[in-house]
Amino acid sequence: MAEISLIRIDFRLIHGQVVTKWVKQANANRIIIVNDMLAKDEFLASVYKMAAPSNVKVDIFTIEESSQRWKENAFGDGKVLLLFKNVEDCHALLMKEFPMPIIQIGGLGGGSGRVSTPSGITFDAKDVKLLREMMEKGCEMYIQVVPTQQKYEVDKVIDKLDFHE
Amino acid sequence: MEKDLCIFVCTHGRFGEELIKSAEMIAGKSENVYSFSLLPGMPPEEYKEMMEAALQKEAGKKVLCLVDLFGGTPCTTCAILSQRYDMQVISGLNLAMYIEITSQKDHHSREELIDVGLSILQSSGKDVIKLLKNLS
Repeated sequence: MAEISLIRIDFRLIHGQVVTKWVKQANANRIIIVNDMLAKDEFLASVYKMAAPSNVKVDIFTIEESSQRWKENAFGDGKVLLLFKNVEDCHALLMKEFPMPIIQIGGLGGGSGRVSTPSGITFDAKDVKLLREMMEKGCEMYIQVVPTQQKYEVDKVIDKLDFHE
Repeated sequence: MEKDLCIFVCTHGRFGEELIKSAEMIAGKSENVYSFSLLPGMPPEEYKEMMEAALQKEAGKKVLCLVDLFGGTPCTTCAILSQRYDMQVISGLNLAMYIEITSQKDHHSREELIDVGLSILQSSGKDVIKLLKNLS
């Protein structure tokens, strides 16, 4: 059974903060990216596999495949950094009864309809709805972009947001 | 040899823009150089669009990308774009690498410049005080 040492939601997937800091912080020797689009795009998948540190193995699975593989053999062995591109994908896997006690949010991108927060992370109404459901499921969620930055508890950050729903 | 070669300097923050200015202090101005600064919070898609605009403007020219950090967003963005454009990419950008490549770019092929860049990268890191002590 693999040990999942960090679950992170980061729209940039494997990038500078992850390769220089979080892989070491999590003491991970594997990165598993859960993303349907990437799992089906061989070229794009190879770019992210190439970009990881040389001692880290990268797997890219669809949401369904991740659920199946977890049920079959709990991802085999190793220490895993589990990466999601967005809240929606993470929520989808959680709803398939994938164990996620603690989830880190490291970046959710920009764009219209998104509201920025003092934590440096932007949210839209859909993110907030899904995040509330995830916390109701018992997930502890925090925001932390880089290890030296303070942690923000997601419930406190999103409680202050108003989307005029 | 490749006067039509463009150099793209792709970095986290304004490191690349400033590196180009620093190099001008030492070696003078270089032609056909672009910098692409990934600013905090900028989505990778926006960064990719910035680079694509320049690639389309310079259509038909060969491109050599110098990226700061292996595995970072500038690096992966260049790798993604290499599927559709004639680009080569080397990581580990430093001032010595940039000066050497821009100084030699009109006299060597792009493949030779990759070797030049990677070998200067290896030889530019030195333990200065140790070298000094060995001489005294």
